[in-house]
Amino acid sequence: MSLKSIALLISVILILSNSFMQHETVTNNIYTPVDHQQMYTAGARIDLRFKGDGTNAPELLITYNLGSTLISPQTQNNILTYRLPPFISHNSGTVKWMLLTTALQGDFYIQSNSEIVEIETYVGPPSIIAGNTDYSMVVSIPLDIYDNVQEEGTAVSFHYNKGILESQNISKVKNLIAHDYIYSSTAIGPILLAANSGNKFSKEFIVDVKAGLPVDFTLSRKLNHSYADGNQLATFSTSILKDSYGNTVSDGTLVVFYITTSSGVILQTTGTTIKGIATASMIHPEKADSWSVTAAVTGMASSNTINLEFQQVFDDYEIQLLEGNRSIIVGPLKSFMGQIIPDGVTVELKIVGQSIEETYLKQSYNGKVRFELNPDLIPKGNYDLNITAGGITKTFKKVSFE
Amino acid sequence: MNNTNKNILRSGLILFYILIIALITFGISSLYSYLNTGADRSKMLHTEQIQDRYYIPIIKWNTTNVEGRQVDATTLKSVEEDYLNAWYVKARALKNNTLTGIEDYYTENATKKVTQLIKHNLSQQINVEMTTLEHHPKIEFFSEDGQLIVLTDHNVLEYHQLFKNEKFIGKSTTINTYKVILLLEDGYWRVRQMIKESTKDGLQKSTSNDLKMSLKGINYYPKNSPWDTFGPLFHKDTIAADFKIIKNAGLNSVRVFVGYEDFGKEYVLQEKIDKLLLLLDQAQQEDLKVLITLFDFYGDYSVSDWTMTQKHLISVVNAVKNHDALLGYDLKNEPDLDFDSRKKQTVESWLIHMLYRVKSIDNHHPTTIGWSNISSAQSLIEEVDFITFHYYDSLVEFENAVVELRKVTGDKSIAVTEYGMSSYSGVWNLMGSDEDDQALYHKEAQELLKKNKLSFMSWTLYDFESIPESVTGTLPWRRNPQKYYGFLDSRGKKKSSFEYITSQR
Repeated sequence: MSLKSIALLISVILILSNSFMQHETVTNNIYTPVDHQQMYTAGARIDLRFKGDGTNAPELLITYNLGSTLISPQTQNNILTYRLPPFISHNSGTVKWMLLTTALQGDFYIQSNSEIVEIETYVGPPSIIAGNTDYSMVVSIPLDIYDNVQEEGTAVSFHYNKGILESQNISKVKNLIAHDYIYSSTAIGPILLAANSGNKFSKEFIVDVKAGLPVDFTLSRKLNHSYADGNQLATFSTSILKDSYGNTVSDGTLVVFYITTSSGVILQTTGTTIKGIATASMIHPEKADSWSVTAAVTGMASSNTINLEFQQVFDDYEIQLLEGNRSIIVGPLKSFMGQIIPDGVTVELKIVGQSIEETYLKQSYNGKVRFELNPDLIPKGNYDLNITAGGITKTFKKVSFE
Repeated sequence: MNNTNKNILRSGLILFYILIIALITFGISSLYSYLNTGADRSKMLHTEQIQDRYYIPIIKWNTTNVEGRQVDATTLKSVEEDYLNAWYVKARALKNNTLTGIEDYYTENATKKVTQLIKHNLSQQINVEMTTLEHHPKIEFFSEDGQLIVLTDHNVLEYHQLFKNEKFIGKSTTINTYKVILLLEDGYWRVRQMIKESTKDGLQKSTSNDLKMSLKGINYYPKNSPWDTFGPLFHKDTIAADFKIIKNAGLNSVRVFVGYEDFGKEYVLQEKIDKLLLLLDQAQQEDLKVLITLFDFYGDYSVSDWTMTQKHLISVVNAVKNHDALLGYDLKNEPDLDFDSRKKQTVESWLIHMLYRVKSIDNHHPTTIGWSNISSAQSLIEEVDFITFHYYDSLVEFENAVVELRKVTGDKSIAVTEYGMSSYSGVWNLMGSDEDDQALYHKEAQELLKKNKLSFMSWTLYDFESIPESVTGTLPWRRNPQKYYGFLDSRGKKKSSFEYITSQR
């Protein structure tokens, strides 16, 4: 083969291969669309037909809701038929097609099937507070058999039941959903609801109306006696906590009780409500005192203030100094009827002198307290002793310790 | 003799023994260290945050007039992240025909629909590469319990290209509007419904900005940092001195290169932008105009990478678009060289989309593509404002080639943005040209350019002492000539070609 013919052959091959590779070249419109519609219904068979030569028929590029794909034609009598696969023809939305290698393109819309088979419904929040301010919401998506949302304007009715009251509200599909507000009532209790469109109903939903914020309440007390014996419990209880519409607040609402003593110290105790009532206790003081007590649900409600007076249980007590004054016995301490005071009353002993200042605290047992003073800690010498029990202080000046 | 043999045998045995022991020790130690590796405690709870985002299209939210509850910034942020991830996992699914991640961002029913598409494409051997470059979502509805959002995503700029049996079949650029229902499930905002409301053909034509001046320019790298203008050796005095030389030589413009990775890829580094602005300031002082070549050393082009290159582009263009010294943008240096390795259709589509993006941010400066040769310059004429190409062939064929090109370019200006000759005549290039040949070449070139009224930017100001391997490779016969294209030698002394740096002073 001569050099020339080889060159010719190569150039012919190059030209041919080049022409095969020109996918993008727009060929003349040898295809014409046949009976194209602008609108289809989901589920219907969608065939896009073109008239033209069936050899080397181009592919159809389809772009729909979720992406793109290619479809190859069936050819019969110079008619190319591109059948959309079900996963496209079942989906409502715009579909764009391009007949590749030609300039032909277009789009059409698939609308959803008007028969509703399901109403997808969401409700929330699931509980709201009583009154005229809070509300919940119900959102419904009416769907056809292919999971397509119904067209805009499809009516959805929402049915409500509260006690003996029943109501209904109609909303239309807009932006793919129909929605309605569920407003609270002044009485607590569940609101039952359901949505329906056409002849399809959703399942039953419940929105619970719960009591709102408690309003101010009153406080009461219970004492076994009013003596400051440091032993009995004073019990405080609230009235039934209610919201402004008279609904009892939810169990477990935390109530804090604040007790202010005559010396200005604030004691605190807490209780949670059961059926609206919260209770809390505090031990009696050990000496005469007056308390003022209030309770509050922090940031929401508070009670009135009640006052309590505690009386002294004894006016006097005996003290014995034994064993070179190093053994000090306080008592017997006696209670209001003369009985021995229950164990645990605090007695304070303060020793001052010889550049020493020591304080000892002990609790009574069988009405008595015994202090044993260690000679290693308290050396020989004269000391002042102060003994306090039940708020009564007795002083001994210059007691000499062996 | 016998004794020697014995000794050789002995030492051989000893060496062999040492080798065996070494191997055993090595084996035991690797086993030991293998057994001591395992789960990292810090990863036990999977608390590591996924910081990198691989899908960053332009997204502009409209949160006015929302029905239902108001949307707060925190919710919006997580909705944006999950919604874009939904697009990202879908794009990935369509590309690879796998379902990885789909379940995380689509509800059960929506996943079924995506699965049907993927199954179909897989069975037909169709692969779709897609991306979205712009989103304008408006939140229509936000339920009171904060679990359901309806949004209309207006004018989503979408690009798809399809392959069948790994052969390119077609592509489409469209602008679509979607209505989307998102549900908050397991902490993810998942797509429940996605309906395409409308579609139209993409990329509106933007107005053309012609090149308003006749360029007499030069490609510029500082002599100590070739291919790395904005690197650690950057100094404004160096640039100022070089620009003075260029100005005094009678030139009016320079071409510089902004490296894609050098500037920080999708998250452009402020430090680099500052350097670029400094360079523009120096040019301004000498009354030089600067043609900025973007995406230098970028070579990916894959559709999944587009949102990232777009973000890079937006940052750079926004930073320089109001500078008086800016001449225009050369989108990419010699992209036609990547046609074979990265598919021509993909590269061209990328160029078209990125040019569109430049135009959408800066409609005052002209754009071009620096084609590697004159015949490639016939591509994308509609899309660029002026045509540029590089010419390293024989000057004899120059005029005819220009005539051919002018047949298709219409009224658009043409500039040769690289041409030149190496004066290297060393060991690797005995037959090569020397300094006199180079001078002669530039003399002739200037005559041709003047005669054909072409704008020009020559290659290059300096000879370079060293050239990065990434530019020319390691082969010395490629590398060495590349060092001697300058009008000034590497010490800054004028070569005989300097006289012909321009013929129009």
